[in-house]
Amino acid sequence: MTLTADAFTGSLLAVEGITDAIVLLNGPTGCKFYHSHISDCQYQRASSFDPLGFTEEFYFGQPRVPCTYLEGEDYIAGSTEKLRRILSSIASKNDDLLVVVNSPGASLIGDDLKQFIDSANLSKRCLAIENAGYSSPVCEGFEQTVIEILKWMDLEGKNSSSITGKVNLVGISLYNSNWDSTADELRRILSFLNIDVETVLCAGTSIEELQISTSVACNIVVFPEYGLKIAKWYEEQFGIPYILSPMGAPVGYDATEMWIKSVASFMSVDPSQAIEILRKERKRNYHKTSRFHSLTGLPKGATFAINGDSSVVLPLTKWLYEYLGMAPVGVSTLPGGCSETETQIIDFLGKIGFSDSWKSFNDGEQVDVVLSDGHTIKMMHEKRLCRAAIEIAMPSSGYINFLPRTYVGVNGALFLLEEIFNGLRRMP
Amino acid sequence: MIQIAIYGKGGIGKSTISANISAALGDKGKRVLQVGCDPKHDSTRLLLEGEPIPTVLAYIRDTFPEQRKLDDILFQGYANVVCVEAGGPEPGVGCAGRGILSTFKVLEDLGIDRIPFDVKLYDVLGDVVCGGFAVPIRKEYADAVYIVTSGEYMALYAANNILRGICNFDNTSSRVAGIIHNSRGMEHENEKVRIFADSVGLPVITSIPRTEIFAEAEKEGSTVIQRYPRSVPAFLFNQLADHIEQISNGTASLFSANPLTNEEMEIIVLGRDQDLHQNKRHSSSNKKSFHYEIPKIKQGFSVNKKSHFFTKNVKNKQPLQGCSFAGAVTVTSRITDALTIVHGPRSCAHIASHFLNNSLLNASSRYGIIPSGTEGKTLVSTDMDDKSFIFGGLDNLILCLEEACMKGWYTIFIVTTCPSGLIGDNIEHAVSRVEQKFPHTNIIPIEVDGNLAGDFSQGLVEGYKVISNIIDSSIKAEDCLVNIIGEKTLSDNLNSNFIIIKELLDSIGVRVNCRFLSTTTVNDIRNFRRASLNILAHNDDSGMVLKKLIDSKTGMEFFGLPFPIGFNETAEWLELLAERFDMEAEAWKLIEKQKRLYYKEIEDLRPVLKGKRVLISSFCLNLDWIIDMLMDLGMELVKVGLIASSYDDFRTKYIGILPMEYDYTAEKRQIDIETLNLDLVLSNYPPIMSNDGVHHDAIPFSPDVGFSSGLVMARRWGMIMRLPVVEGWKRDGVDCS
Repeated sequence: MTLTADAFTGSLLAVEGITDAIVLLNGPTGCKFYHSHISDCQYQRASSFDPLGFTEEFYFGQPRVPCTYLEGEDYIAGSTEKLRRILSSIASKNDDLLVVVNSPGASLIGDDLKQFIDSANLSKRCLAIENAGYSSPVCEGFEQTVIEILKWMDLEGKNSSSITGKVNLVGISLYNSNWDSTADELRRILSFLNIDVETVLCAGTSIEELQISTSVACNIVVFPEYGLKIAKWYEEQFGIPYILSPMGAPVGYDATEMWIKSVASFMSVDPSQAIEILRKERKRNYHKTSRFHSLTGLPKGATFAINGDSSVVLPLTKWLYEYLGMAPVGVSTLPGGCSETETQIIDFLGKIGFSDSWKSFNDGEQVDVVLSDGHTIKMMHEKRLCRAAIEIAMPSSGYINFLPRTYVGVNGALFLLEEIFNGLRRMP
Repeated sequence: MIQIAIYGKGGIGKSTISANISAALGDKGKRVLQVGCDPKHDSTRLLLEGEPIPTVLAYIRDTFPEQRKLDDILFQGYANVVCVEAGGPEPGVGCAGRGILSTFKVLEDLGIDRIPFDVKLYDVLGDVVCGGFAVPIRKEYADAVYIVTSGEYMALYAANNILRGICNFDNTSSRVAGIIHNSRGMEHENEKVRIFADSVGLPVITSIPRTEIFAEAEKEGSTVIQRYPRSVPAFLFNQLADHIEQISNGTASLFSANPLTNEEMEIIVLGRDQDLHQNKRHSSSNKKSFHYEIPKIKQGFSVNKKSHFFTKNVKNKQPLQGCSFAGAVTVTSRITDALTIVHGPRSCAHIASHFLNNSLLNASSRYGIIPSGTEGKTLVSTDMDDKSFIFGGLDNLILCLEEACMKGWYTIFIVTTCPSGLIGDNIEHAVSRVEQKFPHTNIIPIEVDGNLAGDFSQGLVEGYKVISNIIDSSIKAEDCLVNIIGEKTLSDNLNSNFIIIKELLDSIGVRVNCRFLSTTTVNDIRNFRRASLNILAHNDDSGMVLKKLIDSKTGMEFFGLPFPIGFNETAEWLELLAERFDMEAEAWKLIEKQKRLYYKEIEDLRPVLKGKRVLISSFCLNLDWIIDMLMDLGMELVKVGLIASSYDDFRTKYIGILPMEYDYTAEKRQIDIETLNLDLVLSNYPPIMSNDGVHHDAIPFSPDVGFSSGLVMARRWGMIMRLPVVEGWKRDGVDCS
């Protein structure tokens, strides 16, 4: 299995999720190359990879994440000179928000980043994250940095009880697989409830959208690992309540329906149109399922192994078991999972007689369907260890999507079914 | 509220003075917080009846973040002074400066700012040794800084260093309150302190006399304020407390930091004669430098052998491209029966595994080379976090090593990252501890410390260097066995290229003994010397350094040519190699067969490509195989533009024959496209738009080896010439960046 990213990546990608912000990495090029690459893969903003397009100092031939290229002497003497130069150089490019993030090594130097920012007269458009929380889960770094940025922005509070029909989607990061399709699908579902999404925190989001993020009736937490703390912060600071669906993220028919109902109930709107659409899709696809089943007996009895964020693993495990009759032979969660959700997963597995499957995801064993990060699923697929391989976490397999694809919401459920059924038609 | 930092040399009495000031302020009804920032955590002891309190750093080490509470680390002492001790690592391990940074962060996160203190007082270790210990003098913390000193030179030297530290943080505003003279009872001590103070433009706020009552009070675990409230020192501490109040309400002045130079310190404080000093300074340049004639017999040992194995960027002190850590891991992770432990934060291990897995996956999907069972699975991380940064990461490393040993790994590499290097973890200590328990396990540290040893290429070399120690020098060479050295381990075509090379070698009856290193076992490395010849895969800078390294270790023969690309190179490579092993006949047979195929296809492609004008713009400096192809097809190569590369030196047989331009840029390329009447431009990154009627195609960074690499390209060019110059999709991006 791939070694997961940590809070450092979460922090850098939180900034890169803001359309008019630039992350300045105070660290070596070794940390820079990867993060510029990931940022560019997840949120493409430049047409070309050609290093000749990015020859200026601090960029090292890449379009994103300029860095101070810390080296031996800088660790002893501090990165003063390079920090001074990078701040003035990047600041002169445009008016984007600048966020300086220390690499693990740089955080040991103890440079006073705030002082550099102040002395460069940039305190009104630049802030520093001195310690992104190394080796802690990627979602922690994301949340901490989003909150730091929001605090720094000094948002103006609005009376959320007087606002109707507007929400924020909280907890979607560039480090979520197909984050853009996920946000679009949830926007689409919410439009059936006559609810508009004001701001997605924080992926593909502008500073202007962040500024109006307090003008909403509530925050909807999509992936709590990436958003619950942010939502609680809004509640504490501005009294904006949040919605957290009891079944976790809207993955699979049942959890999506529950998610719709939770939102509708909180917002006092009629869920019937959205639920009708979901149920129509279920009906429409019934015959395909039924035909396949009558010929093969599948998907009942097909095995699956899953490893992802706890808020995804819970609804997906339940749905694959209850709706498709599939057997969970390996169930694990990624670091940063919510302990209550994990307890629910353990209880569920215990109830259905699959207790042994907990924490036994094994990427070296044959299984019918694997749902995990892109590297793991692709590796298992290449080694013919599975029939269907579905990406539900980063790093990405590199599959280039032209059609919007997400495992979230109504279309997400259809995507999962399509992958599973067509996978099961293949020999392992 | 006012925040005060008390700085001074270690052992000068800061803690005693801080505690007495806090006590005096407390007696005056002020709400005081005293934060001890010394790893020996005894700053607040006198306020707490001599009792030690749990430190913040021990607390965060032992308590989960969500269970942490401010109440657990704040303690109420004499006169309701609230006491906190930062604590720190054991002497000689971890990073105490990082500890101070973490303490301040934790106090802030737990809401220390919500408690309405009148005075926050930071008692800070020694002089300013690193950024961590400087945290209390950052602007957002200390409003005023007091410097404690005696009349001793080293104490004054430390005081001056503190002023330098303040100067580095803020050289404009005034934040120094003055000097607190803690007397040692030396002769002329007052005068020395006074002279120093005058020289740096600071007042001596008070002089605390040396008296036994400090020791008496300390015996009882209390301050003199508490134990001897009517004593002279108590009177002076009360005055100091008043001074803080005056600063707080703006009736006492603060001063800017104007430190002395080292020379000024010697003249002013030590009273050295200025002229003499100046003479000394000038005369030093005339001093004869020390020279020792090394006896000839020892000269061979005195050379810094390491310097032979430096890659280009490290040698030339160019900005480092990537880090040694990643380079070293790239090498060790290709040994299939060895585990690599990344001693560092998880992000380092993640980044390394990301690129490694990507290359394996691309090799599989693009070339059908399915990863073997353990490939991509031989990497684990010690997950260094803040705790390890402060207290050192050896405990986790030992755990990780023991776990690996118990799982049955017999060869384990430890590759170190920037944090482990910066905090100075003693890796050898961990290794010897674990090897005592698991004597059959070979634990091999590669201490590259992130990028402290250099860049990615240097890391490759460092990895190879350590691994080459496994080679058994007693093994005897066998004929017709070769080693393959220095393949590009992250290339998608790593293994597909090897298969081509292996087929070429098979054709002349030569077998591969050891790939150094790719899909290699420890035993393959041990038996390295079974081969009679080494074949270097690439003769770029890191390849040449590697060659030198292997040569110095084994003295084995190296074949003169790197992996061949295209027909001409492959034919020459095979011919020479066959000659080396007396297998010419077999080689000629294959070459003749390939020659017929090659020229037949050239004839087919000529009608389309002959006479076409071509420009090459490239980062790659091994282009002969492309130029050969162009020549054989009768195409006209107008120019070769070479973009500056830090890795390589340009090597070509066409030097002096073809027009070359160095330091080529995108702008120069555009001008050439507009003026040279070209048909085809070959670049590593072809431009997206082409409004000039010129076709563009890509040059691979890592070309396939063997007879047909050039032909594959030529077939593409033949096809491209018949396709639209600008495909429709490109017009969709005209308004994109």
